[in-house]
Amino acid sequence: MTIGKRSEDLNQFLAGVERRAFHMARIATGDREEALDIVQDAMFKLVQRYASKDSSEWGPLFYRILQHRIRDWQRRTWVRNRWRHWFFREKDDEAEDDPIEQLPDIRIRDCADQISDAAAISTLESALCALPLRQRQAFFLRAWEGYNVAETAFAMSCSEGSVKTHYSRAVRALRLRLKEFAP
Amino acid sequence: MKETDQDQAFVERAKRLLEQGSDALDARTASRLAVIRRQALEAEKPAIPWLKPVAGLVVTCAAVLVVYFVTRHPVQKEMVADLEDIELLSASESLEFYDELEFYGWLAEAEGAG
Repeated sequence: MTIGKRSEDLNQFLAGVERRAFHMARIATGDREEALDIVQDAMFKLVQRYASKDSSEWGPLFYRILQHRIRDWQRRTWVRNRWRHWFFREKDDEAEDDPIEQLPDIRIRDCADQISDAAAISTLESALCALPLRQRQAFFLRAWEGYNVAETAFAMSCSEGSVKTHYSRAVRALRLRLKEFAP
Repeated sequence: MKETDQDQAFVERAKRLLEQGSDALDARTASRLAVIRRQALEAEKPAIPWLKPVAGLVVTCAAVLVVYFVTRHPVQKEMVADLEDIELLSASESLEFYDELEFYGWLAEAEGAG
């Protein structure tokens, strides 16, 4: 594949995923600029390191990078919040397993303020904001991107069994929160 | 857990809503994304195509020079030894003088003691 052709293919690929990627990052961070930074990092890393890979691999690789970036952002935010709690001597409720992955998003209202005015979309995105990170990742990749379990497991850097668990929990939690969406 | 039909219908609706939200992206953000994409693609271009061969050549030349100077070092020692020999040979004293040098040293000590 020539460099020109590959660049064109990469351009098409990135143009095809950039909006969804931005949406995922914005729902995760609740911040437009943070989301743009995360998407930028993911695009640069994909182009610089994996452009030579087969184009069929770009999708899972891109989302793997994106999910890592989102996870890093959430870890940094968690650490910052921990310090804040420590300084103000507030008691925090720790999650049972991995405290970061199980951490419910605390920016539901902020996030909802920034997203679309359409009530249904806003409600859905708010509910997605409230999901733990791994459940949200699994839902985005399986439901929105349409990835199969193996591809999702690769993008999330976890086992296929974990993907199934996270995804089913995400769907169950969303259905509970969004009863008005029930068919 | 096996996905039920109701789950599937719920997921389909959620997907449609997410697509709508994604399509309704404001122009400013869409523009920023396009700029980011263009910058990322520009980063893919190889910096300077001839840089690697030239860098390889420079490293090779440096290695050759280092080897040359390292192997040259013993030759310099030989040259220093040669210069000492020339000084010895060119001295006005005869070679017998150097053969008897130990004797002359003893003589000088004996006279000093006497």
